[in-house]
Amino acid sequence: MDLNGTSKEVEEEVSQHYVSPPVTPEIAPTPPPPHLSGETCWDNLPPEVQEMVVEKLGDKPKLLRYRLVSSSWKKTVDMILERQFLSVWTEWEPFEQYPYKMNMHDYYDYICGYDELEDDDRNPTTGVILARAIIAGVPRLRPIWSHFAEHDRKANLIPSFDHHLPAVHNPKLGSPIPSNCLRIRFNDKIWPEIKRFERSRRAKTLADFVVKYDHCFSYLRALLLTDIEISPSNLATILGKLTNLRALTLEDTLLHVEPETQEENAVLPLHSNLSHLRIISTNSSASQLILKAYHEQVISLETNCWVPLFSKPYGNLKRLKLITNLKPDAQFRQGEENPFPALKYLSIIIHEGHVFEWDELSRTIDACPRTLINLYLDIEPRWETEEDKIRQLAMSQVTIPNVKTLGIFLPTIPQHAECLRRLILPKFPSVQQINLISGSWGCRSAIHGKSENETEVYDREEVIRRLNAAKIVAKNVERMVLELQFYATVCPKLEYIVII
Amino acid sequence: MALVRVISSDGAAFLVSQRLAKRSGKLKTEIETFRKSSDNSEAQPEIRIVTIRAEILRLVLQWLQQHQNDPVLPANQNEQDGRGDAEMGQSQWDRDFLAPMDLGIVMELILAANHLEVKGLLDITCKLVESKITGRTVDEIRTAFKLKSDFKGNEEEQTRLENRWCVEN
Repeated sequence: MDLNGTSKEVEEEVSQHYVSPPVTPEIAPTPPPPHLSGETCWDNLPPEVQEMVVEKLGDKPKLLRYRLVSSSWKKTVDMILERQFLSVWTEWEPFEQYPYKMNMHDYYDYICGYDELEDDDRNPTTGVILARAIIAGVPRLRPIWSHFAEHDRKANLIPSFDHHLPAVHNPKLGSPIPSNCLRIRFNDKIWPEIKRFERSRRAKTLADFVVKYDHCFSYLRALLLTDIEISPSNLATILGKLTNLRALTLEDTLLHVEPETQEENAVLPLHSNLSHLRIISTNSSASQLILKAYHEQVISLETNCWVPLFSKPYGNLKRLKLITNLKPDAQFRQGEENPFPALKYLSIIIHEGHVFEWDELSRTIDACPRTLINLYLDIEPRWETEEDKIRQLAMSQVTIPNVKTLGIFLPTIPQHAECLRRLILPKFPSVQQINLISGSWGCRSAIHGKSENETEVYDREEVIRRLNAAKIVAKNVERMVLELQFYATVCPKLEYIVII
Repeated sequence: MALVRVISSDGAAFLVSQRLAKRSGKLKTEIETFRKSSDNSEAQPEIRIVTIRAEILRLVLQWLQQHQNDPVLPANQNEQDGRGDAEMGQSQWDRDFLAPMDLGIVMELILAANHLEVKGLLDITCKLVESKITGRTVDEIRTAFKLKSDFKGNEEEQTRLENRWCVEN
């Protein structure tokens, strides 16, 4: 039946509808069970309904208050926050995530930080660093970690931190870490006089702390390690206690093998649930160690450190995001086997200053797995200045048959728009939406006239209107418009052209 | 007109048109299942809802009847346009419908709407509960829901401390 309910047939029958009171009960009514007597039955609501109600109640600080109502409310709130935070890993976001775009302060509870300190606490002459906890949603800080310079060997996690975690496991209360997500951050790098051994001693302290409170950390679903130097064995110790981990981020984190120890062969623990990884700005031994352990199970991976990584099979990988200074075409083609048999979403972001020749761009596209449905290529090809040479450009006939959403450079003159239509679009016969990436040209604000963070969807006319308005095609506007209109003839399923 | 007999947990039978019943996702599925398994296409389906008592089932059916001509809301409306579904669907009739109910009945209605997959009703009832919670203290919430805190000893204090991981102090 057509549930939109406006068809003629429905209207005819409306008048015949009726709801009868209990007409002829064939079974004698039995007394209702006590909990249905109109008394409140919050705890009888299924968890998903409890979540639905509670989630509407406000932002994080407000939700946290409701953890105090009862142990079941506490668990409900934690589930909601956990789901919200995990979406950072699980939802596809092809763009580069700049710090301003994803305000970490809003997202995570985390332990340490130097750069958030107030100036009073930064004074190096006192020899004291009070790193503090960032408060999610409200960047107010609280002492968590104290470091007394080298003369004080007792530098440790200060006691108030301990008091926030229960000494023994209480199953009724569930997780003692709201949201089950944690960010741990040392900011030693901007404090260069902290010597190497001091840094690794901190990592050891952290590992000991995780071991001591493993009944708390075992609840964690997501962990972010930022600005940490750590040895493989300490990392293995920490991860070993996080038995429910689903998402892991290593950011600006260095892995150092201590020369005096024999831990080159450290092996990370098996984590069957760990499926979302972000490995950003680490050294290659860190990314290698992580990917060696988890390459077969990882579902989404974001990394900017990837040269030697893809010789292994990534059988379950669905979403891959590469932010790189390197040219990816050679990397994809290494080895005969496609390492990504399940890949659906691919984003390649090439940093500024690394210009692609057209044949490199062609090879990169040709090397993409055929399973892709969403491809985002933030790659700027090098343009010939002479129109004749642009005409002579050619590409292979290879197609990526299933791609529905394509992100590609925004052509700024008609000749480029023609190249896009003639050379690239035929490779994507199923494309429904083309996202023209304006960010790397710095013309996003010229087009939108507003902040860079906003993404808007326009229909084709609107795109054309905006292009006109922005005057980025001051010459030959008519030809440019014509080219964009031709796109639909190359891609028969095309519905949208979007400037992002 | 094709009818369906819907029977509550306490045995009351409601005879409603299939067209109306199908506005509940659950009943729609049940009717289709019945059709597939029945040889006689004229047979009247009978659906027993063991978790919902007559008084509540009647309220759900009343609401469905009142809203039988509403467009069915897409499940992800909220995310798409940022508007609450409840505002879209809530009419004066809804407000009058919900006004005499105490929170206990509303909770039962939420449970029923969830079970029968009636999204519009679920939205307005959740919205009502939300309005009763927002701005209340923890104690007031416990009173409103007739909940007793099950925290013992220092458990509530412990929870308060945990919150300080991430709340302003």
